[in-house]
Amino acid sequence: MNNFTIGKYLPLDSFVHKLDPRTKIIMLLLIMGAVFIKSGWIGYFIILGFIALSLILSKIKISYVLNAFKPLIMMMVFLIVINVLVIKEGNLIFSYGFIKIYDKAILDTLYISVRLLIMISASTILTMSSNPLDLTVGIEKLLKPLGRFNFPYEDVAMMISIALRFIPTIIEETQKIMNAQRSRGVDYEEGKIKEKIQAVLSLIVPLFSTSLNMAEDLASAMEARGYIPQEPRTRYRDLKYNIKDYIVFLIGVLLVVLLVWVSYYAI
Amino acid sequence: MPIEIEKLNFIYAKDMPFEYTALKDIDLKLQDNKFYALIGKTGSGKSTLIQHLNALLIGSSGKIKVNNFEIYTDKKNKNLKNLRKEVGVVFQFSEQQLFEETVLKDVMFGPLNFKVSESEAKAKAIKYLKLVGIDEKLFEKSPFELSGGQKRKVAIAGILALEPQILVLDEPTAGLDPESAKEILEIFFSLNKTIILVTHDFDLVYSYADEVIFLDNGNLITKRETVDFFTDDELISKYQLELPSLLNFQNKLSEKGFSFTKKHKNLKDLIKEVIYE
Ligand SMILES: Nc1ncnc2c1ncn2[C@@H]1O[C@H](COP(=O)(O)OP(=O)(O)OP(=O)(O)O)[C@@H](O)[C@H]1O
Ligand SMILES: [Mg+2]
Repeated sequence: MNNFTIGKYLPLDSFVHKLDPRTKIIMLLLIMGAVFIKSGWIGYFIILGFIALSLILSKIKISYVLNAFKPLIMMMVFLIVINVLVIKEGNLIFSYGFIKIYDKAILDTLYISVRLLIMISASTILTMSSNPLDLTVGIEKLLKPLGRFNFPYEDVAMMISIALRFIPTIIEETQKIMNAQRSRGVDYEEGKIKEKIQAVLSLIVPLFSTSLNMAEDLASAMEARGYIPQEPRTRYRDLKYNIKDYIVFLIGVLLVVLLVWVSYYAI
Repeated sequence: MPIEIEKLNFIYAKDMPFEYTALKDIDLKLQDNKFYALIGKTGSGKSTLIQHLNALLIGSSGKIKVNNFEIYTDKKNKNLKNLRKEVGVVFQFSEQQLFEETVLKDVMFGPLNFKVSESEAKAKAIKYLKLVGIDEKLFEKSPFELSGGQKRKVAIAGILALEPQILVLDEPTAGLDPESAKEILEIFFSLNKTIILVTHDFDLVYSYADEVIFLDNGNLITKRETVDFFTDDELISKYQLELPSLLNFQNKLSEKGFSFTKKHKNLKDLIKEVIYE
């Protein structure tokens, strides 16, 4: 119940922490793309190796990343059930009454699970190793070229960072309100349809009202400190690529080249 | 013995890098129909402790028994609703829990959840709204149109209407004007229930509480009779606690040569003794 701390920034001192946030974001996108290169199990092992390496270099304990998977276990079980029921290709490996399981169904599920594993661990490493403020600046800088097409990249980056900043707050508020209503006899787990609707209302209404209040307070606080959306803003600390980032980019490019090569020649 | 807590521990974000032990080996026994004040610095674990009393938080280890209802820390608890009917909790910032269309409906919400009939729920709602000093004119208004203090009073009425045996209050008077704060405490005081009040206001503690429970950094430092607590100079100076103003006043009078038979918990009694002795 209190484990909603997934993906929270861990202020450690490591190689990965010191990388430019842009480098990390680009590497994440690269990995997300690389997952879809059809390079089979060899490819997945290469990517997983790369992730393991980043994990070691980031000094983040593997158990923290594994914590992020707990909520996903249900989803994976669901996936397996759906896949097994829907996919009827390949060799029949098990049959009992109307239940028929084909090897392709198992294989496909495994593929999807590994892809999820890769994407989630990569994004968890990114958020755990980057200060949210730096991350925003990184997103803003990466979006900057779109500014030429009148894309409001600064506003979008600000919105993303506020949204990220408020996720834990809103989860906290939700729990507080749920506890208050539980004390008034609301049962969020059981009950008839009518009671369920009441229960949801008793959560949603206060949640909206507190969120709106928080948004209003935040807007006033920002305005009071001179924030004007359209005006250019200066920074106290600017981002700069250094030699480490170039090395990581190089490794990223090599990774993709390797995967493409595997997809053509090794399978 | 309505509440017995033994070796209770609680850890926030267990197994995460930012895990935090908020309660450490708490042992506590509370009696029926007494008024307890739970005090301690910000972050000492007061809110965490009271949420264990109606099983909103379940300890990492230890034992809790409330009116013979045992809350298990090592297996799944059943029928928590029965427990929550016995223990009414008014939360810090309780005004945030309002959601119904009208003030009256919001107060009726709790009793209805506990299967009280519609007419009885309404009667209770009216009774307790009046008790906390909400004017009848406001009954049909939306709770969102009320002032902060009025909202707080409605939220308190919402818990009182459950008529629990044990009433737990987390800073119910923070942000209320001194007059309303006093009125509300008088109401709690007159209910003749077991009351556990979390507060930073030592003047209120001194006048109303039978006993003080003092937490520091997740540890239970002491639980004892209110006057005993505030006259333990060693403890007061060790934790740099401020004395209640009435006690301060009486001490100053004593320094000037007045003598008293006992420490007085309200100004009237103090003045009486000064005049008639
Ligand atoms: N959801 C949570 N996750 C992690 N730590 C928490 C959480 N809630 C509280 N804590 C920590 O537990 C400790 C005790 O918190 P608690 O809310 O019980 O304090 P309190 O005594 O009620 O303080 P206050 O007087 O400010 O209300 C604090 O140090 C707090 O940082
Ligand atoms: Mg508190």
